Order: sequence, then C-alpha cells, then structure tokens
Amino acid sequence: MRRHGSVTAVDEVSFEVRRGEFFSILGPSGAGKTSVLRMLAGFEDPDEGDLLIDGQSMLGVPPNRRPVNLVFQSYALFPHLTVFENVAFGLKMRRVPTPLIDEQVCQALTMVKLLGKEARLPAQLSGGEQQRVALARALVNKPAVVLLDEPLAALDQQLRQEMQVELKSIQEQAGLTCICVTHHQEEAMMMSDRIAVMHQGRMWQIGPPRELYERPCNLFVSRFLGVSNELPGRVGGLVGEHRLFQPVDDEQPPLLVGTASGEQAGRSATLSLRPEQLRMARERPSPSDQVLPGRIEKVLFAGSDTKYLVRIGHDRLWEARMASGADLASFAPGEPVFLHWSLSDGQLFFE
Amino acid sequence: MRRGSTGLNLVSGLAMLFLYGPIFVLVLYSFNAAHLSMAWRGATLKWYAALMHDEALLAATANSLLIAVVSTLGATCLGGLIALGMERMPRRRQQVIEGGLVLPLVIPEVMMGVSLMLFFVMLNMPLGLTTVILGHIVFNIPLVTIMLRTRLRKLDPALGEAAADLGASSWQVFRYVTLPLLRPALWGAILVAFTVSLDDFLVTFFTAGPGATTLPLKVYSMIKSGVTPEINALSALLLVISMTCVGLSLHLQRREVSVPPRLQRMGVFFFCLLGLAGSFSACGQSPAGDTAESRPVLHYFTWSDYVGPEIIQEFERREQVNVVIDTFSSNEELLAKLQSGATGYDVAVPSDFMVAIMIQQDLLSELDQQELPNASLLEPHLQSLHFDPERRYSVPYLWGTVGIGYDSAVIPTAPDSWSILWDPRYTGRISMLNDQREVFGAVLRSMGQSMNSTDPQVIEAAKEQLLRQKPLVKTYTSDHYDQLLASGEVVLAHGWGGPVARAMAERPSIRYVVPKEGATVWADCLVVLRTAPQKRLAMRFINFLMEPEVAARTSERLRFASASRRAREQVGGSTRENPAIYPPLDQLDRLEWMRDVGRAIRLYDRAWTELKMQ
Amino acid sequence: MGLFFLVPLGLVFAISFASRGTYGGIVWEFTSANYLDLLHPLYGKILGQSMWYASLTTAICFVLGFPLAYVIARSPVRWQPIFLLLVMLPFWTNFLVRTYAWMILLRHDGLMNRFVMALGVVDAPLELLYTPTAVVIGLVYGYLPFMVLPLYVAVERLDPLLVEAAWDLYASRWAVFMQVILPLTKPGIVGGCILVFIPSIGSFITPDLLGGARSMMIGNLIQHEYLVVRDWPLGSAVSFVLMTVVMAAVALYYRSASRTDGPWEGR
Repeated sequence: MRRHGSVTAVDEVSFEVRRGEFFSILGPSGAGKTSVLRMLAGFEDPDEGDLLIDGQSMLGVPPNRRPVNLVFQSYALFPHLTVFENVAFGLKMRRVPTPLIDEQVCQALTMVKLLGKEARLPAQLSGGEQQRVALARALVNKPAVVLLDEPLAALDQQLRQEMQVELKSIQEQAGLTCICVTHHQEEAMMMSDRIAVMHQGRMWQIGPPRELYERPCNLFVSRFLGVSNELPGRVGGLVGEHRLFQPVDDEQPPLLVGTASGEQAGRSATLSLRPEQLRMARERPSPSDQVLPGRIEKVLFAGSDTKYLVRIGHDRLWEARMASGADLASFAPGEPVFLHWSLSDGQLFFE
Repeated sequence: MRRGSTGLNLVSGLAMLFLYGPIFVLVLYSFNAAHLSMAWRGATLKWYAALMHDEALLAATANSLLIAVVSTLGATCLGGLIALGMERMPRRRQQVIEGGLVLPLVIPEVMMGVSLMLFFVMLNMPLGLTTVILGHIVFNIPLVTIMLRTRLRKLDPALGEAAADLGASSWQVFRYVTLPLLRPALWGAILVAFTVSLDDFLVTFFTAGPGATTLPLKVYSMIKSGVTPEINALSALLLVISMTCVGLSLHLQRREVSVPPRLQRMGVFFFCLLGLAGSFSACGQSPAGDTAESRPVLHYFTWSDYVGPEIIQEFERREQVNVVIDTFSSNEELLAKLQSGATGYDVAVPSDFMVAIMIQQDLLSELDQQELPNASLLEPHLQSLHFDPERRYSVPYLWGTVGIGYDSAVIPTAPDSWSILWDPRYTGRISMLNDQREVFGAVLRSMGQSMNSTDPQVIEAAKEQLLRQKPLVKTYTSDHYDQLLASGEVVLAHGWGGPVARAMAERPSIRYVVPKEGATVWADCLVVLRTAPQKRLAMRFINFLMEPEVAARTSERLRFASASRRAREQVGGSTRENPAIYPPLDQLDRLEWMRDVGRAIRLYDRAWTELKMQ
Repeated sequence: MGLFFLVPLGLVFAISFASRGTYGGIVWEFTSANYLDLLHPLYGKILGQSMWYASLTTAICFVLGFPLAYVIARSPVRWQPIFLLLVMLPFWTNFLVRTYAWMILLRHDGLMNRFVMALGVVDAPLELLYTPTAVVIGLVYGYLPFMVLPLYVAVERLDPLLVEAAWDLYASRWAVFMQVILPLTKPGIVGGCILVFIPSIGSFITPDLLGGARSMMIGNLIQHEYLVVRDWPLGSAVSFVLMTVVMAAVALYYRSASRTDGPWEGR
C-alpha cells in the first residue's frame, strides 16, 4: 500500500510475475501504475506489504542494489554521456571489467540496431533511436526484471507499431522478464503474456489478454479493454435452461441470458456485448439468437472493416462491426435493422 | 516515504544552523546591558530605545536600503542584458567577456573604490547617493551576470523560436518565455546583489559624497567610540521585519493555491516598499530637504559618534544652520578621499601625523585666528605642535596616550615597563595593537630608541623582540581590546587610553599605565579643508567645539582628553583623575609624537609582514 | 560600463610601476622595483597561504552548500524563493556585528566550547578564536550563500529523472553524484566556486578579527599597503600579481569546464 499524503495511490495490489513473462499493468492515467513501478524500482517504499524478487524481499533495498532496471518514459538518457557511455553506465557502476563492458555494450547495441552510433550524444539522436538507447541501457545489465514506463508513448504511430514488434521479439529472444506500465490497451494486448488492469489504486483483474477481453470481471475492465455495448436490466425467472433478462426500458422485448444462476434472479444487471459478437439483419433472424431492433445511425468505413452505430430505443448507441465488402449490400444510415447474437455470447455484470 | 533525502536534509539542516547560530547570538546580545558586547551583563531594552532616538543611524539605514534597492534593480537589468547579449555571441567571444566579468571581482575593493572615485571626480560628477548607486551597480553587474549565465547557458533556443513562431514579438518572447525560465536565477541574482550592496563598505566609502553615509560606513567608523549593541538592535529589528514579511507571504501563500506569480508580485512589492521607505527617510534628512528654508549646510567629516548629537543640535539652533555628519574609519581613508579630489566637506578631524601630510599636500585651508578665540584656551603643551607650530591650519581637539591596560585583579602590582608584555606568565592573555608603527613604537621605546627611528639595524632588532613576543600574544587588534579586557579574555592590552577607560566602566579592576620608557602621544585636530564651501561657518563650528563647556561634555562622553585647558577644569573629577583619559601632566616628558618616517616605512612594513608570517 | 571595469584595471597596472612618494602618494617614475620586492619568499608564503585558505573555504562551502542547494531546488516550487531568502537573510545584518557574534561564539568560554563540553566531546575548552580554524569558519560563513545560490540555479534545472536513472543503473549515491549530478551542474559549480574563492582570497577583516591578525592573507597585505603604509605602488603590484594568478586559475577552470560542455548538451 502506498499513500501520497492522505490519498491512497495504490491499495492492496498483489500480483506475481513469472520468469520470462511480459507482464503489463494497464490503466488510465492516475490509476497508480507509476507508483507500482517506482516501488518495484525502489524509488519509493510501500507503506505496507512486501515485494519479492526471486524469493527475496526487496523492502528497504535501494534501487542500486535491486536486480531491476527501468526504461523511463522520457528515456532519461544522460545528456553529457555518449550512446556508448550511457549503455555502459550500469556495467561500469558494477565494476565489470572494461573488455567485458565493451563486448556486452556492443551486443546490446546490436540487438537494438544502433551499432555505429555509439559515439553520438543523446541530443544528436532521433526519438526512436533514443528509445532504443534507453532500452539497451536497461537490457545490457541482464536484470531479473526490466521495468518499462510507457515505453513507446513518445513515439509516433508508425514507429510505435514497429517498436512493439521489435520490443516483443527482443524480449522473447533474450528471455527477459518485463513489467510494462501503459495506458494503451492495444499495445498491452499485443505484447503482453498477462495484463493487470488497474484503476483507482486497485488491480481489478489479472490474466492473459484474451481472457481479459472475453471474460472481463466487471464493466470497467470491459469498457477499458474495448467497446462494450450495454443494456441495463433485471434477471428474471427460468426459461428452460436459461434465464429471462428484462431490460429496464420496457419497450425492449425480454431477452434470454445463458450464464445467470438461480441466486442472481431478481437482481439488476447490465448485459454487455462486444461489437464483433453482434450480427445485423434486415429481417428478424432465427429464434435461436437473441434479437434487438434498432436503427442505423452512422456508418464508419475503416478500411478492412466497417463500423455501424445503431440506435437502440431512445438513448442507447451500440457499435457493430463487419468486414467490409464481405457482406451483402451494405447498410445505409436511417435503415431499421435487427441486431442479433448467440445466446452464449452476452455477459452479465451485476451491480 | 520518499527515498534518498535523509542525509541531504541533515547536512542542509546543519548548514542552516550554521547560518543562524551567530544570528541568534547577535539578537541575544542586542538585549545585553553591557556596552561592550562580549560579556553578558543582564537583559535590557535600552539599546532599542537608544536606536529609536538615533536619527543619524536611522538615516544611514535608510540610505543603505535605498542604495541597495536601486543598485540591485539597476544591476539586474544591465547584468541581464549583458547575459542575454552574450548568448548571441560566438563561443570564443563569450569566454573572453566571461573572463572580463570576473575581473572586477578580482580587483581589490580599495582599488575599485578609489578608481571609481577618481573616475567620478574626473567626470565632474558630484559625489553623493547617485555615485554610490553607480558604484554598487558596477560591482554587482558581474555577480548578476555570472548567476544568470549559469542558467542561460543551458536554455533551449528552440523555446524562444517556438514563441516567435507563435507570433510573439521579441519583447513578448522575453516577457513570457525567457523571463519565466530565468526566474530561479533571477531570484538568486537579486538576492546576491541586494545582500552585497547592503553590506558594502569600501566602494561605498570612496564613492559616497557629503550626506550619503550608509550603515556600514557608520558602523566601521565607530571603532574610536566603540561599536555599541545599538547596531545589534538595529540588525535584529531589520531581521524581524524581513522575517515578518517572509512569514506574511508564506501565510498568504498557504491560503491561495496557485501563487508563484502572486508571490513574485509580493516580492517586488516588498522590495519597492523597502526602496520607498529608504528614499523617504533619506530625503527627510538630506540637505536637499532643507534648502527650502535655505539654511546653510555645514559638512563635518569625522569618526562615528565623535561628537554628541545634542551638541550638534545646539550649534544648529544657535547658528540657524544644518550640520551633516559623514564618517571615515581611518586617517588614510580620509587622505585618499581628499587627495582624489572629493569635495564638499568643510571640517575634518585628522590625527597629528595626518595633519602633517595634509599640510604638505596642500589640502587644508588657513585658519582665521580672529574667528577662533577659544583656540587660545589650549593646554600649554598642545599650543605649538611640531607639524603646525603656529596653528595656522589646525586646532588640537582631543588628545591622549598609548599605554598598557591591565587587570589589577590578576596583576596586583602596577607594571611600569613595557617588559611586562614579554612576561611568559601572561602567555595568551596579551593583546597588542594591530598597527605596525604603534607596536614597533612600544618596542623601540623599551629599547631606549626613538619610535621614529629609521635605522634598519634598530628596526631589525625591534623585530626580533617582537618575534620573541609573538607566542605570548593572543591577538593583534586595534578595535576590540576594550571588549577583551572587559570580558577578562586578556589581562594586558597595548592600546589607546580611551578604549581602556571604556573597559574600566565595565570591569572596575582594569587600570591604565604609561610605561616609564615612554610612549606615543597623539592628538586629533580640527581642520578646515581647502575646498570647503562654508569656510566662515567652519571656523565658527571649530570655535564652538572648542568652547570649554562643549569640549568638556565631548570629553566626558568619549573618554578622551580635551585639548582645551578650561575643559579639563570643567570635567568631572573621576574623568580628570583617570590616567587613561587625562594623561597626568608629569608624564608629558616621556611621550613622543609619531612622525612620518618617509621611505623608511618600507623597513617597518617588511618587518611587520615578517612578524605576521612567522 | 566596460569603462568602469577597465579604468580601475589600467590604474592598478600603471601604479604598480610607479614609486611611493615620501609622504605616501604616487611618484610617476617608472620602476619595476615593486615587482622585484615581491620576489621575496615572504610574499610567496602569503600568497600560498591565502590560496590554501581560499581553497579550503571554497571546498567546505561546496560540501555544506550543495546539499542545501539541492534540498531547496527539490522543494515545492512556491517554497523555493522563501528558502533562498532564508539563506540570505542572515547577511542583511551588519558584517562587523556578525563577526563579533562569531567571536562571542568561539571565545574561550563561549557557547561553542560550552556546547562541545556539555556533549562530552572534549574535557577542556578548545582554543578556537584567533586560530586559522576560526578564519576558515568565518570565511565559510561569509561566503556560503554565494555558493548556495548558483548551485541552486544549476540543480533546479537538473532533471530528477536522470538521478533516478543512474540510481536504478546500480550507481551508489556517491556514483550518482560524481557521474551524473556533478557533470550536469558544472556551470553552477564553477560560478559558485568563483564567487567564493575570489572574495575569500581578498578578505581582510575576517583574518584580522577571527584570526587575531596573527597572520596575513593577501587581502590584508593589499589593504595594509593601500590604507596603512600608503604604498600604493607596492599594493598595486601585489594586486596585479593576485589578479594574474586568480585569472589564470579561472581560465584553467573554464577550459576544463568547456571541454565537457559541448554545444549539444542539454535537453
């Protein structure tokens, strides 16, 4: 636990990272991610609790004695040192013999494709190159854990995508254990083995990206990891193997949900669906699917697929997504439409 | 908890303690009942009361504040311009100018002061507050520039370009980009400049003209009359006022959230307030304020507190004039200043040997004996002195001897010889004057030689004696042996009678003796300067100071003997009978006047330096 | 404004080749006797001793001043001007009175001795006043703020992340300081050292009052020649030698500073 004055920045955070794993902490800004990272690095101490690396408690161990290296968001390259000196810094501090330093720095620079630029000063490098130096500076020490603080945030879109791939491959190649802090959910999902979603100082869910996306534990996680089409309502009685779901808005027909259990009957809940789980039809589809009528409000062409914003009732806008051109004649704004999905797809979140 | 600051905080705390320790003592001693501040004699508020009535001191404080504020603003603007200008120059040129900036810091302050004075005189600028401010600006510019450069050198030029790109004029770039970025350095520079200016002595002394006495000038020239705890009280008050302002701004800060600009404004406001307060009171007492009544002004150049304020007021009332007092702290300063052509002073008080030099240098005006009836009332032995036998240029004012002050509680039998200063029983409890001629004078007399000897072998022998004595000497000082005697720190002090008499008032067991081998006699004389604007008034002033009743009061106050025979008759018995104040007339034949030894001074000088460096 | 700097300088130089008049003053006869006089080992000793005192003072000021500047520069922005003011405030009191306060603190039965004796550090009072120690204490006291301010300016600009980065990269505190903080605050350090070293080498009141005038610093010598002996030519010669030495030291300093201070520095 960690408090900033009276505000508790991080509260009851508990997680375990496996060797060789790429672990991301994902959350909006102000979620307390950076505090966790700073505690891991050793710049701050938790007010309560413990922190173990390879079974050893790190409490009270200063940053320079921790087998952990941090890649700063702003890189924090030493402006007075060359690329080589920057990368060699950690080795020099641990009094590694000079020939070994030369060798390891060269290896690291090769890995980040910066060989030949070792004599430059950081100010003479581009943003992407600076990022690589920062990475090499951490990797070269072969730390037990590499900490990444929004590692790609300062790069432009294209460079960012390249670096995502590259970073991941370096991590796999070198067998690094990484803990990455980011607010960018796509980046986290692409690179991570597991993700922890953090909000208001708590970790809400930890798991592989797919599990998080498909089985979020609450609405926040669901919303943060992609688009969540929501319908509030109340769980009703048993209909065969399934339960009835009565939307709050009486105009909507009752729906069936597959996952609710007996004791949840009578409780308020929100039904959530991912855009790709929704299908669209002009005619009412087969009764095995759950159906909601709506009206197309907007059509957004996004290259490989097309997004449709569909108004349900008065005040709900759902998003459906379909591969462009794969389908019949595309829908036009203003057209009435039926949204349908299979019974097993919807997820219920209770208040 | 944030890591990594315990050690730093500890050292910082120690540093702050170090900075404020002496300040605590300083404030504490402003409540000290003793006049001589080293010994604690119970608590009192009398120094604060005295301060409230000491108009001259308050006026000097006001002058100091005014000069500090104006010169700080001036130096910050000019220094800032230089620093900014340097940014646009090629690197090589920057380095050259940087070197040049360090120069004024390296030039000894005396030289800086003297040459600035020469420069102003050459330009025909009358010395006054303006010249002092200019002088302070000159020595503050390098400080400001160096401070600002530490920051400017690392400022990203792209920021200015970005602002210009966004449509900012070059003034706006400066105002909204450069200035805010420079703020920390600017604060630093202003603080440094203000502080240095507030406490400067030498440059101020030489560039100051009549009526521009500042606080440091006043304090340094108190060495003849003693630095009183009044100065502590004044310092404490200034501290309390500044602290209150700091506290106030802190308080205001806590209540409002985003304050930096507000604080800045407050800082500027506080600063201007100081300046205004300074200028108001400066105007209040400056001669300019009184010219409306067009009363003539007499400028008196003297040691601090060398004449009681009530005596001056009496003269002002009687003659319907204003007297403005300016101060110096050594004869040589007075000479240097007058030699360089500083004008505006009417009456000065040089010592005997300096009168000789000033006559020789044609700096004095011949006296009109008709105007000086009281000058004929002099002690017989002071009526015809070697440097001015007919008293054409000078009237002896106060006089005395150099001897030994000792603590009779420790040394019961009165020492009658200089040799007691070589007595190993008193190792580490002896103080000697920090004055090469006086120290050599004492040894030369004890060797049976003249204290004005120019014989290299004699001087060499004297030096050997002094080297033998050095391990016994606690300190060489000309300005605080009264305190050392009064607090028991030393039991034997080579010194002038007046300060020893002051020590007696604090510690009654102190006695004073003029050794049988003989010692120095001195006289401070009243003179009218050749450039005096108010010669006739000056004569009347001298005559007034020599009036027996006035002279007697001065003598009582300063604990120096008046040169007026009639004054001796009028002073209290305890003053007249005190050998430290009035030398017994039967000792006159052992006394010798200190004379200028011409080029032989280098012999003394070399010997003195060797003594110090041994 | 340059005139104001050059006139004194030229004057010092010119006078240093003149002779002293019989009654003091200057006689304009060219002579190098003043400089030849200075060849006496006595003056070398004074210069050496002064340099030593000034260097020691500068070093102690740095050791005390750096942490202070660092803590101030890392405190909340709105407190910084107030802390700086607090550092400077003691110096708004009169110099002489402040020095007397030190004499009261350092004397035989002064507060300092009572304090260390109460702590049981020593049994007998230390001889502090009128010793070289007292001179250095006085000099450090007098010039500490002139070290703190430029250092504050430099540290304020230092990115705290760089310190954390070094720390994270296994640098001990000492190594963080030596490898990162020191090189990046160099301009401030150079400025601070100049502002402390130069005035302390030329000081004359502190050695007299706290050192008991038992020894001489070069400032005393210059002051003595100008205002006691009235031997301006000799005083000017001493000044000129001092200026040359100090300028050479400063130039060396700048050269070493500018080597690492490339045009690409700073972010």
